[in-house]
Amino acid sequence: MNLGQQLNETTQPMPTAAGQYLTFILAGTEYGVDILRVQEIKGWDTATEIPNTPEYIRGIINLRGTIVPIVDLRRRFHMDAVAYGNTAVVVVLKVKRAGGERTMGFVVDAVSDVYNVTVDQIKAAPDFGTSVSTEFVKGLTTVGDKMVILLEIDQLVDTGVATAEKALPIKADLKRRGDT
Amino acid sequence: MLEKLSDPLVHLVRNSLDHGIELPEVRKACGKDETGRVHLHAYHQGGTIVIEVADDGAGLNKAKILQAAREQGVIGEHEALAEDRIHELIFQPGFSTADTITDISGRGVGMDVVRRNIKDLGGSIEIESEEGLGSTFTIRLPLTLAILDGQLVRIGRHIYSIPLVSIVESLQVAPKCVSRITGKGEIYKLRADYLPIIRLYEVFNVVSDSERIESGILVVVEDDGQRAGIYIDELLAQQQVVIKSLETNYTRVPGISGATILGDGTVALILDVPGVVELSRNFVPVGFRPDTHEAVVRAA
Repeated sequence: MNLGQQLNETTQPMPTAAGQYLTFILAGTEYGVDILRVQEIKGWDTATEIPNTPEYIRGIINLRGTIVPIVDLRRRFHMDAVAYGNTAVVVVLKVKRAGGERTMGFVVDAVSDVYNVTVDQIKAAPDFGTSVSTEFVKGLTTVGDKMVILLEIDQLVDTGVATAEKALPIKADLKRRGDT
Repeated sequence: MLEKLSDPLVHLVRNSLDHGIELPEVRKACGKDETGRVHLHAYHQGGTIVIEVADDGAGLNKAKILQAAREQGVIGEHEALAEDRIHELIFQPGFSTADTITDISGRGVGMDVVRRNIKDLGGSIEIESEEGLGSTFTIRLPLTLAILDGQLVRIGRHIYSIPLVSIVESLQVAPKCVSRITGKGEIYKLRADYLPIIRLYEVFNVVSDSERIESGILVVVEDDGQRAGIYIDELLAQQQVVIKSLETNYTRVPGISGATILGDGTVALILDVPGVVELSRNFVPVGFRPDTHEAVVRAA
């Protein structure tokens, strides 16, 4: 354990976050993910939809023989859906979970840049209470005059898939449909 | 995969023959046929492959296992165990109850290796045993590297693969054979049989070409002796597919046992027929349950 980590453990809630970040654009805002988690970036193509899954799961794709689920980050963040153009890309990330590592793709509007970010450049996200969920925001940083939101990707998928798993017992959903 | 599986299988069959099946005189005395039987049975179930090795022999002798376990110090002198825990004991390394060592078994090397090999493959093994009636060893393996004969079907723009083993026949729907039970569950009269109709587009919440039943195809599937008709838009090719797990990178999806990659590189989902039937039962509570099904048949 290095000094930085120790320091961060004592000065919660800021987790270790220094390093290089790959950033991408979602609805005009720039978001960053730890570059070491990025497996590859590929153009957006269609995905095979999976029945009865949350709306933000776009489906699964064939990534050189591996089945990889695609998360639509716009939908995940409850933004307006858009028809993805030819700049839309899938950022394939390695996500750590309790059961091991998973590979998942995230559709974003466009890929932007790679930045070096040091710990002191990262500011904690302001607390919005329950009106804005910030549980998967690692922190905010400034590059030039732009704000970049650094995402805690494990958290994002954990809550995402956890809710997906919760949503899976379809009975509730079906009951709703049956009632109408 | 086969290499890892053949040793455990051979071992289980040997065990059944040596430990399970009794000598002809003993069998006769118990009122059984002199000839013992060992049944091997393999099939798909849900997202797994199931292999059963069943014999009609003596079954696991619990008293003997307990005694041997105590002697070998695996459990304490006065420890009491539940039945399945006793059965578990035979998976202990070095454990044997055979009185004599024969060519076939009794060296105490075996069940632990069997279990380890199966665990390495990501599977599990269970024992069901009734003293005097026989034992069944059930191996469950994940459907990962397996190849499956599938019938590709289309609903709207979605393509699914239905395992061919589950399909009995496919037919064009004659509207006069369709009736409804209490206005909900749809029933199809196929010759002398009544099948519940599962409209897959409803269960999966996708858009199909048409909701008029006569414009599609009914794929008759069978699961556990229970038949159902799955309504789809079109039959496509029959194709062997390699099963890829959805769980590696995502999670289990009800009604889907895995995915596969088609010739053009796109992904198709493989239907888990029992899962789909289960889903549709929740979807259409009336008209699908066996009791209502029977009631209708009787009424007819």
